[in-house]
Amino acid sequence: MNKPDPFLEISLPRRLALAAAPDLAARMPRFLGGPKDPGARFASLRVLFVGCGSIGLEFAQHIARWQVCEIAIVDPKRFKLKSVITHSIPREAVGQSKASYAAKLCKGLSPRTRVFALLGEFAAVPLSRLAGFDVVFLATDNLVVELQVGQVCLALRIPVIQGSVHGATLCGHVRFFGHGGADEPCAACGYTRDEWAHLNRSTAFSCEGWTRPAAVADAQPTLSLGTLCSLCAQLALLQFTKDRLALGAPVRNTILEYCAYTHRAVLTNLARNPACPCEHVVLRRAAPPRPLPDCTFDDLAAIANANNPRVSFEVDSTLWVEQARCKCGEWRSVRKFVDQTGLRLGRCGKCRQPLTAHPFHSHHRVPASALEAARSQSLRDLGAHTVRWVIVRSDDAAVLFLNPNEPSQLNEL
Amino acid sequence: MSSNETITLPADFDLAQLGKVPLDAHHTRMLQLARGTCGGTPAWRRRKEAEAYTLFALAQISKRLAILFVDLRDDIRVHLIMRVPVPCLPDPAGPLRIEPAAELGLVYRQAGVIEPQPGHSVVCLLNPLHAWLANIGPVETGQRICLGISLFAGIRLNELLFMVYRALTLQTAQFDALDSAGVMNPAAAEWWQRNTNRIPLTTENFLSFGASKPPTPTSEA
Repeated sequence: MNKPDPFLEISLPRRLALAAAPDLAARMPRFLGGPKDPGARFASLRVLFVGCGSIGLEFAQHIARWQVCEIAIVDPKRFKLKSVITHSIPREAVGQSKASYAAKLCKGLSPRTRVFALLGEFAAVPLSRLAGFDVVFLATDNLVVELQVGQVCLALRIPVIQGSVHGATLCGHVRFFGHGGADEPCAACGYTRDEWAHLNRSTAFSCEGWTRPAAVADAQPTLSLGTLCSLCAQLALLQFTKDRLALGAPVRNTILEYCAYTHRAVLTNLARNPACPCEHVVLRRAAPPRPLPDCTFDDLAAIANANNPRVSFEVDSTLWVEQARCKCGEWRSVRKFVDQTGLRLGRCGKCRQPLTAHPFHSHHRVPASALEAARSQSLRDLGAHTVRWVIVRSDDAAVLFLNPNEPSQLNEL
Repeated sequence: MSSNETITLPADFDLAQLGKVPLDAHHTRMLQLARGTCGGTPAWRRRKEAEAYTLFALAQISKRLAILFVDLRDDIRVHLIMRVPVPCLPDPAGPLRIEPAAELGLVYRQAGVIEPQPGHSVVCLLNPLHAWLANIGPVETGQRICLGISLFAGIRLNELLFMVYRALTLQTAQFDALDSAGVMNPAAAEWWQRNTNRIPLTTENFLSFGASKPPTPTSEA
């Protein structure tokens, strides 16, 4: 019934799981002008880390020390021998998955925290899962991923804190994107022409060195001292602390630059670029009247107040397939939702060969006018048996429907 | 192609001015139809309408394209016929057949404006079937045309059509199955490696089809 969660939960051996955890309050200061319960504000946090290299690993292990509620770590790569130079890892970690190594480290530091690892790309994280996080820490080496994280987190209004370094100038940068609304900046708002060019070349600014195949991406290794990476991570965590505990001046939508040559730090505001080519649309969240597979498009459009002819629907990761085609060239009308992992749609009536969804006649975002009479049928009847989320778009407004039991499903994993 | 109107282009015309070409009545009607259902954010709608306009303008001046429909409801979806030689091999033991036109289906997603897209994800050859090219996938997966490892973010629709033209005519080709870019049809790649004397299928450029030739350049480059 449920779609499999791409994350693996990390558990401890029983004897360690039952061992007493230190009380965070024992080391938590009474911050000047801060709240009375700083520990409690950390305890409820659900944090996602994208990228677990020399900066991301520092993020994760320090957040774990704050004994937060949930940690999830996404990284598709493994440690290499050169990782030892910049990452705070022992040699024994070489060859291990970055995500699972960091997740095990976090679980060991905070047994009360639910810790998840995903040895894969950020794109594999379902929207419904992402919607449950309070903050995303970003330390990726890939501009496309940076762009994807920025776009989806802006849509979900999840703050993103990004750490990056420029080793040659001993500079560290912390960008804090508040993502409070459509008029706030996204990562791409500040992209220069050079950055768009790097994005097009899929440049990876990798902390793995020059070892990745050049055909996959231009690999630019992180040429930096591990200390600078650690320092950048600590600065980012301090910025986050200030935000979470409302300490001092607001830090949302700022970039903090620190240069170790001059020991100067500069804080600059980030602003929305009116010419940004990215979609600055924030998803309004709404509850469906019943489990999503039992809803009709008419139900959802009514709640979303989307009653113009330009409405479109996006149903989880499914495709709306209008027509399928056989190897012999025969077409067949399908008009149903199909999971992208299983695009075979029966056999051809003429030659009995398997039919597959035709890419030209398949929609990920389905215009309402393509559904016609199907709008009054339940999603289940239209082939969408397991639906975690639906987005209803209408011009520049969009509404996200999450299954009513989606958050509790996460807790039961 | 159904238009009987003649549009005279200025002597210094170049493709950067496609957006200023006045459309004939047929293409204007088609554009109005597409605009009537154009959806999405204001920025995406503007982009789609501009792309559609230049597409119709290109069809009008080149006479190589017949636009069957343009759907701007969500993605840009274009069904068109391109007059271009298409090599086909319905019988693996038979001779190569050159078809005179390609029926194409093009889907340009909004993500393509800001993210590089996989080179095989945009254009399908709907007809003829059994195209015999290294960079066209099998019928059962939609005869996707691969235009390279990835397409740069924000690529223009017209640029995609020029790439398709060059790919179908083998004016650009990649046959090396061992190249990291790979091929969609290894047997066709091998066949063309043995028949390089037939490449390209034509040296004619995209705009020099039929009577409506572009203006002669005033000076040689």
